[in-house]
Amino acid sequence: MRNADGFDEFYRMTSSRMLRYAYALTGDLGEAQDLLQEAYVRAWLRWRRLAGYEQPEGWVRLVLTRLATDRWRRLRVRGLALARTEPPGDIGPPSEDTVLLVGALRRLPVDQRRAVALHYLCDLSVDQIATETGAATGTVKAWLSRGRARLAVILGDLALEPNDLMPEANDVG
Amino acid sequence: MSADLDRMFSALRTDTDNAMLPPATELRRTADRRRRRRAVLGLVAVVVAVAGVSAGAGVILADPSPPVPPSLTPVPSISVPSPAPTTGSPSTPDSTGSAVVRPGCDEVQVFPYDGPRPAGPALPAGLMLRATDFGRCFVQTADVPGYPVPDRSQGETAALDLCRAADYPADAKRTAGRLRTFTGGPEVSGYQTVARFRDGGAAELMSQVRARVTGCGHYTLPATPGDWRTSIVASGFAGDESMLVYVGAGPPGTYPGWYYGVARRGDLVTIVASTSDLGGDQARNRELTKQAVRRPGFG
Repeated sequence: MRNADGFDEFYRMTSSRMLRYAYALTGDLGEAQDLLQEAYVRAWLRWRRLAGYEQPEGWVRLVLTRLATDRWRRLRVRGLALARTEPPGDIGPPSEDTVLLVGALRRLPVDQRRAVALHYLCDLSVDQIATETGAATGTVKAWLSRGRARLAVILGDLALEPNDLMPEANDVG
Repeated sequence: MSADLDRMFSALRTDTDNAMLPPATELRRTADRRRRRRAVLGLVAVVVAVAGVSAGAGVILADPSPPVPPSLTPVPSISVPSPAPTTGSPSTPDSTGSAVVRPGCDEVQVFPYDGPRPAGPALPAGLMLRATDFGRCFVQTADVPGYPVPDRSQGETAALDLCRAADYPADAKRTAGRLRTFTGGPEVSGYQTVARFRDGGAAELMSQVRARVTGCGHYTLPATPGDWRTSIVASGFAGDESMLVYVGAGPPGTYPGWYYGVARRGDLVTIVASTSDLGGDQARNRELTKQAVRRPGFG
């Protein structure tokens, strides 16, 4: 018997962070939920081994990254999710800020998006991101710097063109 | 970070914190069901032309999880439960299987053989690759005497059902064979067949495979929906003649894509495949194919 309690605790402690990360990578909360479930299913399949890892969370995040950044794999996970007997729970509408942010994140190159998500949503330091991605710390800093700058530009543009993402804004006033 | 960005990231945190996630027990149940189903279907899956993308098992095998790549370096063998039956009759699928746990390796389940029915006399076991040839964490899951004869009426397919689900004319000249399957983890598998042919059938098979692959390029099969490409990516690297056949959804090297090593020495032909959730590895399949024809008594 694998250590179910250990896995459950790991899931409880990390799943919210993972969901944020997946949401930032995909820009779609429903899809992020599907990817997250798939990643943890795979983690349980290997739990006996993963439990011995220093950073099992990094392993799950790597799976999520691969799932989220490969269109073909995402489609397959979608297929798995559709095959589930129980639909995912209701998801309330995201806030306008969230809609704007994920819209902007989707326009970042994958490396920058990943670094920004790891830093600002998973609370990883530059060194930790460098370790996890295998990149030099200078590269990570550049991703973060460029990512932030680009987000500011994109969000500035979006602020000038709110109708693109928030048609209801027209109804105000 | 600007205050605006800070506020937006906080909003995203709040939104995701409010999102519903299934309980861990449900995820474990899903995983355990998948493990069982994968193991039962797995033996069939590794025998199909597009390993890992057969109907039903495909979504499970196409897993990008990052296992530690199995080493090609042989290590002392590890005691595991007996592999699948070595009788001529495949057994009924077993939904329980035997768990194999080894230090430093993913847990694997060994289930009775459930692939195409074998026919003909058995080639010696010594001709075959061993689990350690595939990697440190691999275990042998089946050792089947005879050559596999898929029951087309039941949707069974053969290893080289490339371009169409049909036998090769040279298959009728097989006189003996052996099949082994291996697993190295939840989504990592290996496969080898060796068959002996009469009357020049071995060379004919090589020619027929070559002609079929070069003559089709793109194809789709009922069991493997989608547009599949196949090509010969290497030749002449093992035995009297050999080829490395690529099958995938894109150009070689992209995902999903797998390789089959096909090599002939004398009147023996071996087909070797090693696939993982990360797809196929050209160099690894090539090396395994070379190892296969170096086995004592091969050719």
